[in-house]
Amino acid sequence: MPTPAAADATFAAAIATLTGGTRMASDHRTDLEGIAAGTRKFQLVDPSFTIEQAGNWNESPVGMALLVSVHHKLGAAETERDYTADEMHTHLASLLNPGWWEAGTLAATVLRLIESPALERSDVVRVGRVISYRVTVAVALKP
Amino acid sequence: MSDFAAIEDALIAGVRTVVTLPAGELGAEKGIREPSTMNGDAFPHLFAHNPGEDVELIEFQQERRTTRVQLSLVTADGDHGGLATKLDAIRDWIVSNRTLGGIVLYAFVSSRSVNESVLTHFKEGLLEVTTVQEV
Repeated sequence: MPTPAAADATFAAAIATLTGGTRMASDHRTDLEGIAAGTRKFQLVDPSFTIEQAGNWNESPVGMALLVSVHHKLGAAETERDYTADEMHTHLASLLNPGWWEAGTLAATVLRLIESPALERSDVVRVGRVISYRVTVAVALKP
Repeated sequence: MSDFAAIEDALIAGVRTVVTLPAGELGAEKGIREPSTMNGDAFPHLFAHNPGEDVELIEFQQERRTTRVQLSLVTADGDHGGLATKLDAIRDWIVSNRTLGGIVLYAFVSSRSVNESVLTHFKEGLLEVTTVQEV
Protein backbone atom coordinates (compact mmCIF):
# COMPACT_ATOMS: atom_id res chain seq x y z
CA MET A 1 0.00 0.00 0.00
CA PRO A 2 1.48 3.37 -0.93
CA THR A 3 1.80 5.78 1.95
CA PRO A 4 0.07 9.13 1.55
CA ALA A 5 3.50 10.73 1.18
CA ALA A 6 4.47 8.31 -1.59
CA ALA A 7 1.11 8.81 -3.26
CA ASP A 8 1.58 12.59 -3.08
CA ALA A 9 4.89 12.23 -4.91
CA THR A 10 3.32 9.94 -7.50
CA PHE A 11 0.46 12.35 -8.12
CA ALA A 12 2.87 15.29 -8.36
CA ALA A 13 5.05 13.45 -10.87
CA ALA A 14 2.04 12.57 -13.02
CA ILE A 15 0.76 16.14 -12.99
CA ALA A 16 4.23 17.46 -13.82
CA THR A 17 4.51 15.09 -16.77
CA LEU A 18 1.04 15.98 -18.02
CA THR A 19 1.29 19.75 -17.71
CA GLY A 20 5.01 20.24 -18.20
CA GLY A 21 4.98 22.27 -15.01
CA THR A 22 6.99 22.22 -11.84
CA ARG A 23 5.57 22.05 -8.34
CA MET A 24 5.68 25.30 -6.41
CA ALA A 25 7.58 25.37 -3.14
CA SER A 26 4.33 26.24 -1.37
CA ASP A 27 1.10 24.41 -2.09
CA HIS A 28 -0.92 27.12 -0.36
CA ARG A 29 0.59 30.53 -1.18
CA THR A 30 0.88 32.26 -4.53
CA ASP A 31 2.91 35.28 -3.49
CA LEU A 32 6.22 33.63 -2.66
CA GLU A 33 7.57 32.83 -6.11
CA GLY A 34 7.19 33.88 -9.70
CA ILE A 35 6.59 31.96 -12.91
CA ALA A 36 8.71 32.46 -16.02
CA ALA A 37 6.81 33.66 -19.07
CA GLY A 38 5.41 30.82 -21.15
CA THR A 39 5.79 28.22 -18.40
CA ARG A 40 3.62 26.54 -15.77
CA LYS A 41 3.73 25.69 -12.11
CA PHE A 42 1.27 23.73 -10.04
CA GLN A 43 0.21 23.19 -6.46
CA LEU A 44 -1.12 19.98 -4.95
CA VAL A 45 -3.00 19.83 -1.68
CA ASP A 46 -3.98 16.26 -0.83
CA PRO A 47 -4.90 15.50 2.77
CA SER A 48 -5.47 11.85 3.53
CA PHE A 49 -8.25 10.20 5.49
CA THR A 50 -9.47 6.76 6.38
CA ILE A 51 -12.41 5.40 4.45
CA GLU A 52 -14.84 3.69 6.78
CA GLN A 53 -16.00 0.33 5.53
CA ALA A 54 -18.66 -1.39 7.58
CA GLY A 55 -17.65 -4.79 8.91
CA ASN A 56 -14.09 -4.68 7.65
CA TRP A 57 -12.24 -2.11 9.74
CA ASN A 58 -8.88 -3.78 9.44
CA GLU A 59 -8.79 -3.26 5.72
CA SER A 60 -10.24 0.23 5.51
CA PRO A 61 -8.36 1.91 2.67
CA VAL A 62 -6.81 5.32 2.88
CA GLY A 63 -8.43 8.08 0.87
CA MET A 64 -6.88 11.27 -0.42
CA ALA A 65 -8.80 14.40 -1.36
CA LEU A 66 -6.81 16.23 -4.01
CA LEU A 67 -6.89 19.87 -4.98
CA VAL A 68 -4.74 20.47 -8.07
CA SER A 69 -4.05 24.09 -9.05
CA VAL A 70 -2.27 24.71 -12.34
CA HIS A 71 -0.89 28.17 -13.12
CA HIS A 72 0.27 29.23 -16.58
CA LYS A 73 2.03 32.51 -17.25
CA LEU A 74 1.47 33.78 -20.76
CA GLY A 75 4.50 34.12 -22.97
CA ALA A 76 5.50 37.50 -24.36
CA ALA A 77 3.62 37.03 -27.63
CA GLU A 78 1.01 34.62 -26.29
CA THR A 79 -2.59 35.76 -26.06
CA GLU A 80 -4.96 34.54 -23.41
CA ARG A 81 -6.86 32.33 -25.84
CA ASP A 82 -3.66 30.90 -27.27
CA TYR A 83 -3.56 29.06 -23.97
CA THR A 84 -7.16 28.71 -22.83
CA ALA A 85 -8.40 27.45 -26.19
CA ASP A 86 -5.54 25.04 -26.75
CA GLU A 87 -3.13 23.66 -24.18
CA MET A 88 -5.40 24.25 -21.20
CA HIS A 89 -8.11 22.13 -22.82
CA THR A 90 -5.62 19.38 -23.53
CA HIS A 91 -4.50 19.21 -19.91
CA LEU A 92 -8.02 19.46 -18.55
CA ALA A 93 -9.15 16.64 -20.81
CA SER A 94 -6.85 14.38 -18.82
CA LEU A 95 -7.29 15.86 -15.36
CA LEU A 96 -11.08 15.73 -15.68
CA ASN A 97 -11.07 12.22 -17.09
CA PRO A 98 -11.70 9.68 -14.28
CA GLY A 99 -9.76 7.10 -16.25
CA TRP A 100 -6.60 9.23 -16.22
CA TRP A 101 -6.46 8.95 -12.41
CA GLU A 102 -6.58 5.17 -12.50
CA ALA A 103 -4.23 4.48 -15.41
CA GLY A 104 -0.59 4.84 -16.35
CA THR A 105 1.77 5.67 -13.53
CA LEU A 106 -1.20 6.13 -11.19
CA ALA A 107 -2.52 2.60 -11.68
CA ALA A 108 -0.32 1.20 -8.91
CA THR A 109 -1.45 3.90 -6.49
CA VAL A 110 -5.17 4.46 -7.05
CA LEU A 111 -7.66 1.77 -6.12
CA ARG A 112 -10.73 3.69 -7.23
CA LEU A 113 -12.21 7.16 -7.35
CA ILE A 114 -14.30 8.30 -4.42
CA GLU A 115 -15.27 11.56 -6.07
CA SER A 116 -15.03 12.20 -9.79
CA PRO A 117 -12.66 14.95 -10.91
CA ALA A 118 -14.43 18.28 -11.08
CA LEU A 119 -13.85 21.86 -12.05
CA GLU A 120 -16.16 24.78 -11.40
CA ARG A 121 -16.31 27.51 -14.01
CA SER A 122 -15.28 29.99 -11.33
CA ASP A 123 -12.16 27.91 -10.75
CA VAL A 124 -10.61 29.32 -13.93
CA VAL A 125 -9.18 32.74 -13.18
CA ARG A 126 -6.61 35.17 -14.50
CA VAL A 127 -4.45 37.49 -12.40
CA GLY A 128 -2.04 39.62 -14.36
CA ARG A 129 -0.52 37.33 -16.98
CA VAL A 130 -1.15 34.11 -15.04
CA ILE A 131 -4.14 31.93 -15.84
CA SER A 132 -5.05 29.37 -13.19
CA TYR A 133 -7.53 26.56 -12.83
CA ARG A 134 -8.30 24.12 -10.05
CA VAL A 135 -9.41 20.52 -10.24
CA THR A 136 -10.66 18.48 -7.31
CA VAL A 137 -10.79 14.70 -7.09
CA ALA A 138 -10.83 12.16 -4.29
CA VAL A 139 -9.30 8.70 -4.55
CA ALA A 140 -8.88 5.58 -2.50
CA LEU A 141 -5.32 4.30 -2.37
CA LYS A 142 -4.54 0.70 -3.10
CA PRO A 143 -4.33 -1.42 0.03
CA MET B 1 15.50 53.17 -24.08
CA SER B 2 13.76 53.46 -20.73
CA ASP B 3 10.14 52.53 -20.21
CA PHE B 4 9.38 56.18 -19.49
CA ALA B 5 10.99 57.31 -22.76
CA ALA B 6 9.14 54.65 -24.77
CA ILE B 7 5.80 55.82 -23.42
CA GLU B 8 6.70 59.48 -23.95
CA ASP B 9 7.80 58.82 -27.53
CA ALA B 10 4.58 56.92 -28.26
CA LEU B 11 2.50 59.76 -26.85
CA ILE B 12 4.41 62.41 -28.82
CA ALA B 13 3.96 60.40 -32.02
CA GLY B 14 0.26 59.97 -31.28
CA VAL B 15 -0.31 63.65 -30.55
CA ARG B 16 1.31 64.52 -33.86
CA THR B 17 -1.38 62.55 -35.67
CA VAL B 18 -4.15 64.82 -34.32
CA VAL B 19 -2.43 68.15 -33.57
CA THR B 20 -0.24 69.99 -36.03
CA LEU B 21 3.10 70.73 -34.41
CA PRO B 22 6.35 72.12 -35.83
CA ALA B 23 8.48 69.32 -37.24
CA GLY B 24 10.93 67.30 -35.16
CA GLU B 25 12.28 68.58 -31.86
CA LEU B 26 11.18 72.08 -32.77
CA GLY B 27 7.61 71.01 -32.00
CA ALA B 28 7.88 68.31 -29.34
CA GLU B 29 10.35 67.02 -26.81
CA LYS B 30 10.77 64.92 -23.72
CA GLY B 31 11.30 67.08 -20.66
CA ILE B 32 10.15 70.66 -20.10
CA ARG B 33 11.62 74.14 -20.21
CA GLU B 34 10.56 77.74 -19.97
CA PRO B 35 8.47 78.67 -23.06
CA SER B 36 9.61 82.30 -23.01
CA THR B 37 13.14 81.15 -23.85
CA MET B 38 11.98 79.45 -27.05
CA ASN B 39 11.65 80.81 -30.57
CA GLY B 40 8.21 81.75 -31.76
CA ASP B 41 8.22 79.13 -34.53
CA ALA B 42 8.38 76.36 -31.90
CA PHE B 43 4.69 76.75 -31.03
CA PRO B 44 2.39 75.04 -30.50
CA HIS B 45 4.89 72.95 -28.60
CA LEU B 46 4.42 69.64 -26.82
CA PHE B 47 6.35 68.62 -23.74
CA ALA B 48 6.17 65.06 -22.42
CA HIS B 49 7.53 65.35 -18.92
CA ASN B 50 7.57 64.41 -15.25
CA PRO B 51 7.04 60.66 -15.67
CA GLY B 52 6.37 58.69 -12.52
CA GLU B 53 5.49 55.13 -11.64
CA ASP B 54 3.78 53.15 -8.89
CA VAL B 55 4.26 49.39 -8.68
CA GLU B 56 1.91 46.90 -7.08
CA LEU B 57 3.11 43.35 -6.47
CA ILE B 58 0.37 40.91 -7.39
CA GLU B 59 0.13 37.11 -7.34
CA PHE B 60 3.11 35.06 -8.48
CA GLN B 61 5.34 38.08 -7.89
CA GLN B 62 4.05 39.81 -10.96
CA GLU B 63 4.25 43.60 -11.11
CA ARG B 64 1.39 45.88 -12.07
CA ARG B 65 3.17 49.08 -13.10
CA THR B 66 1.10 52.23 -13.22
CA THR B 67 2.96 55.01 -15.03
CA ARG B 68 1.91 58.64 -15.30
CA VAL B 69 3.26 61.08 -17.88
CA GLN B 70 2.39 64.77 -18.11
CA LEU B 71 1.73 66.21 -21.55
CA SER B 72 1.90 70.00 -21.81
CA LEU B 73 0.69 71.47 -25.07
CA VAL B 74 1.82 75.11 -25.00
CA THR B 75 0.53 77.74 -27.38
CA ALA B 76 1.85 81.26 -27.77
CA ASP B 77 -1.07 82.86 -29.46
CA GLY B 78 -3.91 80.34 -29.48
CA ASP B 79 -7.33 80.97 -28.06
CA HIS B 80 -8.83 79.20 -25.10
CA GLY B 81 -11.38 77.20 -27.09
CA GLY B 82 -8.89 76.11 -29.71
CA LEU B 83 -6.55 74.70 -27.08
CA ALA B 84 -9.39 72.83 -25.37
CA THR B 85 -10.34 71.34 -28.73
CA LYS B 86 -6.78 70.08 -29.19
CA LEU B 87 -6.95 68.44 -25.75
CA ASP B 88 -10.14 66.70 -26.84
CA ALA B 89 -8.36 65.38 -29.93
CA ILE B 90 -5.45 64.06 -27.87
CA ARG B 91 -7.78 62.35 -25.40
CA ASP B 92 -9.80 60.82 -28.21
CA TRP B 93 -6.62 59.52 -29.86
CA ILE B 94 -5.66 57.78 -26.63
CA VAL B 95 -9.18 56.34 -26.30
CA SER B 96 -8.74 54.86 -29.78
CA ASN B 97 -5.17 53.68 -29.15
CA ARG B 98 -5.27 52.32 -25.62
CA THR B 99 -2.14 50.21 -25.91
CA LEU B 100 0.00 52.96 -27.46
CA GLY B 101 1.02 50.62 -30.22
CA GLY B 102 1.26 47.57 -27.99
CA ILE B 103 3.75 48.87 -25.42
CA VAL B 104 1.27 49.05 -22.52
CA LEU B 105 -1.79 47.10 -21.43
CA TYR B 106 -3.92 50.21 -21.61
CA ALA B 107 -3.67 53.98 -21.32
CA PHE B 108 -6.10 56.68 -20.41
CA VAL B 109 -6.19 60.40 -19.75
CA SER B 110 -6.52 60.66 -16.00
CA SER B 111 -6.81 64.45 -15.85
CA ARG B 112 -6.93 67.48 -18.13
CA SER B 113 -6.81 71.22 -17.62
CA VAL B 114 -6.21 74.45 -19.48
CA ASN B 115 -3.84 76.65 -17.55
CA GLU B 116 -3.92 80.39 -18.25
CA SER B 117 -2.53 83.46 -16.52
CA VAL B 118 -2.87 87.19 -16.93
CA LEU B 119 0.91 87.36 -16.53
CA THR B 120 1.76 85.59 -19.77
CA HIS B 121 0.44 85.12 -23.28
CA PHE B 122 1.31 81.42 -23.18
CA LYS B 123 -1.48 78.95 -22.56
CA GLU B 124 -0.88 75.41 -21.42
CA GLY B 125 -3.10 72.43 -22.10
CA LEU B 126 -2.06 69.90 -19.48
CA LEU B 127 -2.96 66.23 -19.67
CA GLU B 128 -1.94 63.50 -17.29
CA VAL B 129 -1.78 60.18 -19.09
CA THR B 130 -1.84 57.03 -16.98
CA THR B 131 -0.68 53.71 -18.39
CA VAL B 132 -0.79 50.23 -16.90
CA GLN B 133 1.54 47.34 -17.63
CA GLU B 134 1.69 43.89 -16.05
CA VAL B 135 4.88 41.86 -16.15
